[in-house]
Amino acid sequence: MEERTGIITMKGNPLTLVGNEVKAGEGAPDFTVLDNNLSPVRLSSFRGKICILSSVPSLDTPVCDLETRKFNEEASRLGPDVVILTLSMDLPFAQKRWCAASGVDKVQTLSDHRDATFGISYGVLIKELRLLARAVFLVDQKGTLRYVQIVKELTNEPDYEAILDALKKLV
Amino acid sequence: MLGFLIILMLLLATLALPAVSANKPPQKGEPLPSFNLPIPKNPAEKAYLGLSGEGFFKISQIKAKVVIVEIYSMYCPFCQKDAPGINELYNLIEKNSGLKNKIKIIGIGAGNTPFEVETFKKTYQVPFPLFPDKDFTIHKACGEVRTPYFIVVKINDDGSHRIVHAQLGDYPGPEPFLDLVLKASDLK
Repeated sequence: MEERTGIITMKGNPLTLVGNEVKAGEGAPDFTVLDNNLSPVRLSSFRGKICILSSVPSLDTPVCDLETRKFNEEASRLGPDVVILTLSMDLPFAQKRWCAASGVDKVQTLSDHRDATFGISYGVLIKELRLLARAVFLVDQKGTLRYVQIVKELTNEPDYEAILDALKKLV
Repeated sequence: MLGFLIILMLLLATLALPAVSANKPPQKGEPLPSFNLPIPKNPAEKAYLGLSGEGFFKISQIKAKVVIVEIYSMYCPFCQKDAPGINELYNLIEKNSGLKNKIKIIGIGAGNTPFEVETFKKTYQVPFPLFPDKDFTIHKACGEVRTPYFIVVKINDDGSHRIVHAQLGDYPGPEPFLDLVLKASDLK
């Protein structure tokens, strides 16, 4: 399996990413993850929608991230076809508690804990932690990857403005 | 030639840096980020804060030795869970004649409209002033902190001020937090 270094850090310490590097312009690899009810969900079931795939190390935090909530609300208002899939290694039970999704209909939290198929297919599985790196991928209605952002420092938020700019071009 | 190449490399290196937030979360030892709050129209709240007139004020103008600021959101379930405990903190202070005029509490609803602030106030029966930050202006000035974020500000007699404690989440309850505030601000 491909391993890449020099892409992300945690508090400045380098980490290794496992899995396939993906680039804008390629077909978005299909994957299977679990929803909050432990049911399998495939990316291909969202064909016809604009998917924001947002991976994070963990959703299970005792504080609220208003930045992320703001982004989720703005992104979901951009069009009826926009769907936000937030992926992490948290168990489905923990994902249910995530406040940045509560009340925002178009956000679905999905768990990659069982097989890490998303992490490996998109090259964002952190070898040292078995968690997902913070990254955002935009997939258009035809299933093509149109935007990729991997956040260099694990403890930082993504550049939400850049994502919204890229999203507006697809809507 | 070498000097030119070094300068070029440094320039390219800075272009590769990711965008960073302009402000950091408020920290102990620093002054508060600069922002204004509207002077409350409610006479009881105005009196509680020791303010007069109309317009805007800065937290350091509150008539107190210590101000506890909670940056919260109506939509934050942790802020909702903490609300009764912070009300209790207010009660502990107000019942203590030695502390009642020295320590004040305010809340700032990040991204909340006046309506949302009123709703939170009514739902949780909040006895201290809450302020809306509809456009996240104050939230941005405070480094876009996660919520709840607690800032304890000590105000000196000459009007200068300093943050003596800052904390993200983990509200320990009214008595332990009051203890912490008293120790941090040398009121104990």
